[in-house]
Amino acid sequence: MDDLNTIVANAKAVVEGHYVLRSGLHAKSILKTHRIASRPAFVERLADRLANKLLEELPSEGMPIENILTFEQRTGIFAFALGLALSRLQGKEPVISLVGSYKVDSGEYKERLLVEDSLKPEDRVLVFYDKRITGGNLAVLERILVDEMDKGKNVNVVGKAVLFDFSNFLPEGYKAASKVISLSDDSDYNITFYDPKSYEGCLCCRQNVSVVSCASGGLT
Amino acid sequence: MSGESIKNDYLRLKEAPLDNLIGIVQSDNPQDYSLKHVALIELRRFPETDTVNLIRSFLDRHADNSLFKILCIKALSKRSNLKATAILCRLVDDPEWPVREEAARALGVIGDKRACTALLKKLQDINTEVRRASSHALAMIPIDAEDDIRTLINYLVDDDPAIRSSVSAALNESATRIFALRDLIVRELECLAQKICTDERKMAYLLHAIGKHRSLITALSSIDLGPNRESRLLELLAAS
Repeated sequence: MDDLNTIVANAKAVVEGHYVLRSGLHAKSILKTHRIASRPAFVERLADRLANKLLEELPSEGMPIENILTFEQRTGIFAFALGLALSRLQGKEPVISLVGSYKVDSGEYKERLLVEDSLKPEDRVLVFYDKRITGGNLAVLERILVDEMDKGKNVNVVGKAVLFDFSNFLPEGYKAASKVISLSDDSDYNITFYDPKSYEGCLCCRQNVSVVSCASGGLT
Repeated sequence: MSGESIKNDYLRLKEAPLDNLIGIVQSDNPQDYSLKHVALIELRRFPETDTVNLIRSFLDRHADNSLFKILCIKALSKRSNLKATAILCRLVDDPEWPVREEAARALGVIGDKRACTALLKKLQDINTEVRRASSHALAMIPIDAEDDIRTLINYLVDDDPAIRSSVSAALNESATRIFALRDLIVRELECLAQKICTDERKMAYLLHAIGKHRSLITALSSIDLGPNRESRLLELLAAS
């Protein structure tokens, strides 16, 4: 935990502002994991820790994780490091299945696998994202899996993992439903999320703080 | 479970009878996890069979598993009955927005008008994708309740163009299908125009939405645009 806090502090990853997350929640500050992803040594340390935790906690029955399903860009950077750490520990290199998110003409975001055959039938798949707030992006990745299953490609989902879990900070009435393995179970980051449509609304909106980053397409 | 045995089980399930699929879905054996995926997908081969209670109890047992929830929604989307609609209406309130979005889409596919109230509520969801999926779904459902029409009309001036477009399509569908509703829609459009007449942006949205559909365009002649009606109309249409 100390190491995790040190990495976050050294990377200056917690940034203040007024953010609108893809879930629709607002935040007064966020953990900008790009700042950690740009430091290879930090990425490697986090990936090693998560790989060890995964192999301890996931029911493996002696079988390796064969595939890591994640988004491209910064989350992909962590996934590559996680893949390397897992291949050292379990003796088999997992394939990274990258998902891209594209804005289509209607204004909606559509996600799809960048390499269509990166997921093989019967693969033991880990669903991975760098952080969880409501868990929406993990569920988006699972939706990709359902689409693949729908095409007749059965896969075996071994679990879901994140580096940072902020679901403890969700506003009243919110609860992240899914179980995930994370490095930051007892995190003490001071991150506050607001439901802009709740009775009290968002503190930054009330104070007229302009939105400095609209994260539709990737933060929750 | 080895990859080979999973593959064999999977191929077996592709042609399995309903009883076998039900057995796997009801099983508490954690090793059946991957088979449950396949069984849930294969349940769609039996759309006429009442497996909705089975899916409902399965969802209750796996409330923390979004993958199973999305699979159940896919399985339910081919079942056009009251129970399927009721379960999907519950899932549109799920904590995870992709589950809510999928449930809203499935309600549109089923097209059951009993889902209207739940979908109208979801037009206020904090997640944009859920709101859009709900508005798409409403455009696929025959809406005939006057209160639902009144609520829906307010979203013709929503800030999201995708929602405005779906809502105008839904209203046009209702006005075309039920002649009596056309008068109500035209009256409500006039009321809305009066409410927002000082807001140039919203007026432009409204005129654009009305102008797209033949059955709504009749409302245009009744909307009060002030003394310089023609030039104001042109200005607003240009802004839209």
